[in-house]
This record gives sequence, C-alpha cells and structure tokens, in this order.
Amino acid sequence: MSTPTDGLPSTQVPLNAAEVRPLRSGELTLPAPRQVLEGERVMRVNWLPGSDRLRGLCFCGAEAEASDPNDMWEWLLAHPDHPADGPAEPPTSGPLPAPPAHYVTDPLVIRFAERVPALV
Amino acid sequence: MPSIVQNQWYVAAYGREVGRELFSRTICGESILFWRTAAGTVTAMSDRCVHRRFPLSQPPSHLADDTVVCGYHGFTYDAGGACVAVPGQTRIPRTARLKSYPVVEQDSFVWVFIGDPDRADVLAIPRAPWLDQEGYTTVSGMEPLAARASLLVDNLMDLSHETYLHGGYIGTPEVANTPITTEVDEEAGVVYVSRHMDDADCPPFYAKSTGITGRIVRWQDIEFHPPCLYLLHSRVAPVGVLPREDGTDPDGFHVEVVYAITPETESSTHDFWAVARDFALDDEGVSDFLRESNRTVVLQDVTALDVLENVLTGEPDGYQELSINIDTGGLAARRIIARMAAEGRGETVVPAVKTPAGTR
Repeated sequence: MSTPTDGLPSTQVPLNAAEVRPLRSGELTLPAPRQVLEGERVMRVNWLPGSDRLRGLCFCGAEAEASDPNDMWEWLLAHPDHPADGPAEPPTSGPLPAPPAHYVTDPLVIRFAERVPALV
Repeated sequence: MPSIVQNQWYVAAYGREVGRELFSRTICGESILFWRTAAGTVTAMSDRCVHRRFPLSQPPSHLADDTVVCGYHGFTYDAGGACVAVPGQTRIPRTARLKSYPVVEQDSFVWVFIGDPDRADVLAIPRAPWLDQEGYTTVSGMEPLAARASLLVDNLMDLSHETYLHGGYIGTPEVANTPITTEVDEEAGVVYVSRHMDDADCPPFYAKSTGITGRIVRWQDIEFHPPCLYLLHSRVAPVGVLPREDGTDPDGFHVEVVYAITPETESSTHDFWAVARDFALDDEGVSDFLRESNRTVVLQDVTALDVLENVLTGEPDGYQELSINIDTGGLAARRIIARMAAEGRGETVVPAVKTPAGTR
C-alpha cells in the first residue's frame, strides 16, 4: 500500500504473474486511474485488460493493488481505515472444496433435454 | 427481500406513448394509468377503480375531457386522481380517490416517482438531454425483458460481453493496453467506467453510420445513475483525431447511447434504449441502420438475460458467483443499488464510506 500520490509510476510496468501478494509501499504495477468525475469523494479503480491486478485510489490519496474486485472495493470503502496490509488476497494454494452440483428445483427450467420417457 | 429501490424516479414511457388514449404500464410492481390532459400535461394515477378494482385502462373505460370514466360502473376521476362522480348518488365517499404519482416529462421520457411523493425532488432526475436536443438525431425503443433489472445492470456495466454476445455488431476483439478506469462517487450516486482506445477496429455499427473506413479512436465512457439511467458516451474518429485544445470536438462522431432500466416487477424489466448522434442528422438511412442494429443488439441481450432469469429462478438460493476484474464496475453499481434499496426499505444504512466526525 502507498499513501502519497506523487512519484508513482505513470506507465505500465511488466507484470510478474507469480507475484500475487500484498504490495509493499511503492510496488504499484499499473498506471494510475484516469480521473473524470470531479466530486471530492471519488473512489477509483484502474484495470489494464490482460493484467491480473487492479489499482485502487481513494480520494484521501491512499492506494493499493488487489487481485479481486470485491476485495478492492472492500479496501477502498474502508476509508478512512484502509487496512495497512492492503486488500485481502484470495489464497493461491491449498485444498479447494469440490465444485457444487448444479441443482435445479423447477422442472420447467431444465433446458437442452427432451423430457421423454426413456425406453431401454 | 424486495430489491426494487423505492423513493426514486423511474422512466415509465416515452412521451410519444402517452396521449389522449388511456395508457397503462406496471412500474416497480405498481399498475399505473397515464394520460395527457387537454392542455398536454401527462398525469399518472393508479390503474384500478376504487370501487371494484376494474382496470381504468380497460375499455370501455375512457377519457371524457379531463376525466377518466370507469368502464364498469362509471366512477369518474379527475387528473389528480380524485373521484368527481359516482353512479346513482350525489355523495362521493371520502375514500374515493386514486393514488396519484409525481410525474415529469423530460428528455423525451415520462419519469414517474415510486415511493413517498413528499420525497419527490424533480431536480434529482438524471438528465439525458441529447434525446430531445437541437443538433442530435435519436432513434429509440423499448423491449420487455423477462428478467430482473439487476441482470441488465450487470450486462451494461461490463462491455467486455460485446465481444461474445454481440460480435459482428458492436463487438471487436479486445484492445490490449487500454486501461479501464472505474470511478464511484457515492455522494452523487454515479458510477463511471471509461475505456479510451487510441487505435481500434471499427465495428460495423460505427463504420456504416459514420463512413469511417480505417481504424479509429474509440472512447467508451459509461455514466450510470443508479438505479435507472445508464448513459454511454461514445466518441469515434479516425486514428489520431482528438478533441481540440479548447474543448470543442468538431472532428469527432458522438453517439449517446441511453438505457433506462425500469423494473416492471421483481423479475421483469422495461428495457428502454435510445441512440442519439450528432452526425448525418437528416440521413434516414443512417437512422434506419442504427435503429435496426441497436434493436438487434438489445434483443441479443434480452434473449440471454431471459434465459439467465429462468435459470436463476429455478435454482435454490445460495449459489455463489465468481467475480473477476471485468466486473469491477458492475460490482460498484450493485453496491450503490443495494444501499439505495436498504434506504428505501427504511433500514438504517451505514454509509459505505465512513465520514469522520466534523469533516462535513
């Protein structure tokens, strides 16, 4: 996380895809967000398609990068108490639960299947 | 839990839809009767007679001068919804009055306020001036959507779906190195998503309407005023052609794409769409092309979202979605709408952005 807005890189720095962790001060990999809205309390997030990172900027000057848009907004909307260690990062290793089945409760919405008796 | 945001203005119709014929549309689950007085003012009131609930939009109900006469027993209402005549007696019961709605005709739309009428602030209606402005030509329509409004908000806030759902119309392969910035002004209630492409393919939608044959500068600036009004400021020009330093832009082609996302019920939506342009103003061929193209695009969305609504309805609650970077703007819109909905239900809402005491 970094709080000053001056001296930040204004051009894209090549992204190291393996580097998924909270950023330390000054470690911003994306350009700063464009600023169109003129309000005094505007939150901004920049994303470069192709990049796995989001760069968020609070109106107070605090900024950070994140890998997940929900975590990015949570961190920004915590103003003025932005967590010092940056936005939460989804775990990149460890066991995962099995994907759930797709349950359907209404037979009318079963698609792509002819619901005819099967004769064996 | 109801998701429709109360105490808000919604687009109910185009002004051209409302005249000296009774017109009914369900807005946010409320059946509303619209008609235009002899002086030309649009009025809005409940579309049910207080007597036996007969729809006032249903023939033989009819307008008689500036009153509505119920086609069942003849209860008669004035432009403010007050009952002025009942059959067979002179006394009119005190409770014989229809709910009337604040209504404003602006930017070619008829806006209606859903909620507590005392909270209807006309100045809070977001503007789309191009739709009714000298120097622009507009084509427009409305498609019924059998899906909840939030699905259309999700759809419009992330234009990356253009590549897949609308390829060959407005979609082109994504242009790398084009940052997308999302801005949120919680106080003003605006979400802004901008993507400025300096050197992009020109999709047929713009090539055929502007006549540009080569690659283009393409700017897409989404300005969403939750819960209802979505504006896409689109600028295209030949590569290298930018607005002038004085702020004027005579060499750019500007298209203002406007959507009004009005819930009909919790699970259906009125999808109003309009395309205003500042070029080829009198060219009927361009109007026909843009009307047909945009309607095709809208119907592609409608088809997909109708399927999605059907699927979601048939699922048990509790499925988790997965959001990725393309969803940054859509998630911001959802948060604002959720906060508005909670406020509309009268719930105590902790501001998303905490303001330190003494700073406001």
